[in-house]
Amino acid sequence: MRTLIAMVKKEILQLRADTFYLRFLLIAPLFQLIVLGFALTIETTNVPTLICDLDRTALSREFVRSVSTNERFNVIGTVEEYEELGDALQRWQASIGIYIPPGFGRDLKRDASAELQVLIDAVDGNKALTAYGYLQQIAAEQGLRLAAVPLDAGGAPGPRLVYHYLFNPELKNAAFMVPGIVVVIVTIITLMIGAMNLVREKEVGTLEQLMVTPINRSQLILGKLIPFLVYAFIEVAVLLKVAELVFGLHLAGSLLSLYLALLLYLFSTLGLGLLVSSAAGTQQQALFIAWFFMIFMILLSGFFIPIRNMPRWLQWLTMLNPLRFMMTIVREIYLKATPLKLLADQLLPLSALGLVIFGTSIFTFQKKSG
Amino acid sequence: MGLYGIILKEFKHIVRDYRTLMILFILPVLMLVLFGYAMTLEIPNIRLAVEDLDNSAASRELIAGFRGSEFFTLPEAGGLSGRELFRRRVADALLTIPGDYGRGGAVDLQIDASDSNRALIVRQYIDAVVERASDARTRRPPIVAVPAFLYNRQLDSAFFFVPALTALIIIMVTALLTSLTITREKEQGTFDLIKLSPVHAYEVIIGKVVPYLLLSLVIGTLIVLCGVLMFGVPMRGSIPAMLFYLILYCLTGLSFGILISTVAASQQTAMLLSLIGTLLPTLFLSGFIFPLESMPSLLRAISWIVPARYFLIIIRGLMLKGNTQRELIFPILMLSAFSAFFLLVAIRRFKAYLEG
Repeated sequence: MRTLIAMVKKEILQLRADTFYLRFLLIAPLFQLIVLGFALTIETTNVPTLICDLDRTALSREFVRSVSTNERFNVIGTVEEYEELGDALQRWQASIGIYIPPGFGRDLKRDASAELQVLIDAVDGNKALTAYGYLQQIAAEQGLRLAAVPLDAGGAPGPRLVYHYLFNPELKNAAFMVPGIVVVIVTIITLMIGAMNLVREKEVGTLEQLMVTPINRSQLILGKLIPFLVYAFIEVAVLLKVAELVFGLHLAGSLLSLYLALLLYLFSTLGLGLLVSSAAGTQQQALFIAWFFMIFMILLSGFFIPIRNMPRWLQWLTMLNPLRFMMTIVREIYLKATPLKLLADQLLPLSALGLVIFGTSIFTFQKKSG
Repeated sequence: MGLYGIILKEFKHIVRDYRTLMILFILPVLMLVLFGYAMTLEIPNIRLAVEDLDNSAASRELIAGFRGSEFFTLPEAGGLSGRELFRRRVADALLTIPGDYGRGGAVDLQIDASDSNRALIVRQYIDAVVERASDARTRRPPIVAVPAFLYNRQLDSAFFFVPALTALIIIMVTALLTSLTITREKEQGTFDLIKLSPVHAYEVIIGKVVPYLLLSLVIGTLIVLCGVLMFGVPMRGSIPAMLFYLILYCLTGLSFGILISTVAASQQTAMLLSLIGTLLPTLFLSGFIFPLESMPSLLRAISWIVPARYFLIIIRGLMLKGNTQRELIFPILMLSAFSAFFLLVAIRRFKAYLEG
């Protein structure tokens, strides 16, 4: 036990020696958290819009006004010719071009029916569809108003809907991202930094020195891993606090359950880090291999892309990803206060993966250095 | 040992480390394939639990609307409350049709909003079905907006994501490639020799960038080819132009990496700097997924210094819009400026290091 404590102390001293690195480890996640919390929304607003109004009647001008006052659209100007709309889209100046043909106002007045054309840059299909949806809505509402058709004309009123948004009533995007970021950070610190740290000793040759000292291998491994574990736990606490201060978010579930799940998860990431360091000879190799794992873990975890949207074979592949289960667990606990017993279907595979990965890594490490 | 000698030496280093080389070729392609298939923002599978307290012809008609839509699956609510359903991850939304529905009672909709973006989309899809069930709107609206979807008529999400992934993968690989080179030699002390030999700082920097430029150009071309062949992304612009822009963008990434390499004291720091300096800004502040114009102005301002932002315009413009050199002149100039700036600062810093 005393050897182990000495080992941990040495590791912490070493970590603290590189202050730049340490500060970086602390600050980067915070920065990430804040940017993500604010930036990540697929909501479509301010779409740059160009208008070509060849009708030039009071009605068409009224329609244009209703588009420009809508926050979804940012009318950047008007042009005199239809062709200019297409040019502007081609040159990335506008994403939407609205063309109001001559006779628009006359048709609207006479037949209560008029057409206009919308050119949409559909490179971003999602944005294109949403923006068009909003435009249709404006057209429908304004059309009824401008053509002076009574609103309740024809048919009975349709069903009314009352909405309730559970767990995140203000629809804060950060509420969903924060728990996700927390586990991603834990993954980076324990897998990537852990792997690099071990390989560094190998590269410099100090690992061999350690091997010949009267310290046994499990102490060596534990001594190496514990500082990262502690670091990860502290970082989680800091991130949760910051989320509270910056975004006004609170952990709905129990902190203890969260840390318990994290501890289970760490077997997988620390184990993977250990595996990488056994496989790699240089820090550069370790970096690339660890990076490889990280990208796949994050991508196939449901962090950005819902797993249920993926093709079936890819969904199966995600079953091998410990982060996939951890991502669900942390979000469930953070947002919905789900008790651990309802999360058994996530915790079991997580533990199984952790057991296999950590076991393999210890075995490989012993063999390599034995 | 002049410029040529350094290039040759660096090249040998790359070729000798076949493990890293293999990773370098396999990883980007695998990433593209997985990302390409995984990334789709359509929500085809909304689990909507329904509780029908009315059980009338009208309420059954509303439910039939959901059953008929390919976007919904209807699990049994089984008498569980909405909160309980959501906690057990059985449903994304719970629709309760009241007993007085036929007499104008309001339908109650609870949505799991833990993922706010998804909640909004779920709401849109439900709205659409409910609207269709209502007679009032089947009438032709007075103003019809006829849409013309340009450049991506089928609204294929691969057209949007695959070029963007190319931008992400290239900047990460290139920056990581060079970010460790100088730091490693600093750490290992192999620069002591160079300090004694009459070699210029710019020769070392350029000498380290050139071989990696070749390597990353091959990787970049491979990724673009995969995008075209596997995902059917069109290539409407000119191919020589594409190659030229690839070189330019790779150069930006490599010079960013080499700059990091002159700044960082240890390989670990270098790695973190390059990861955080490329991955995050490219994912979030380049227009990769999240539209820049929807962001708060501060973040929009930061996006001006994200190189991938410009390459995204270039590659999407070239592949999807068939943009010409003239139409892309601004992003091209910006990328060139970034490369020149990174390289110059790297050379200056390295010079100071050699003399120090």
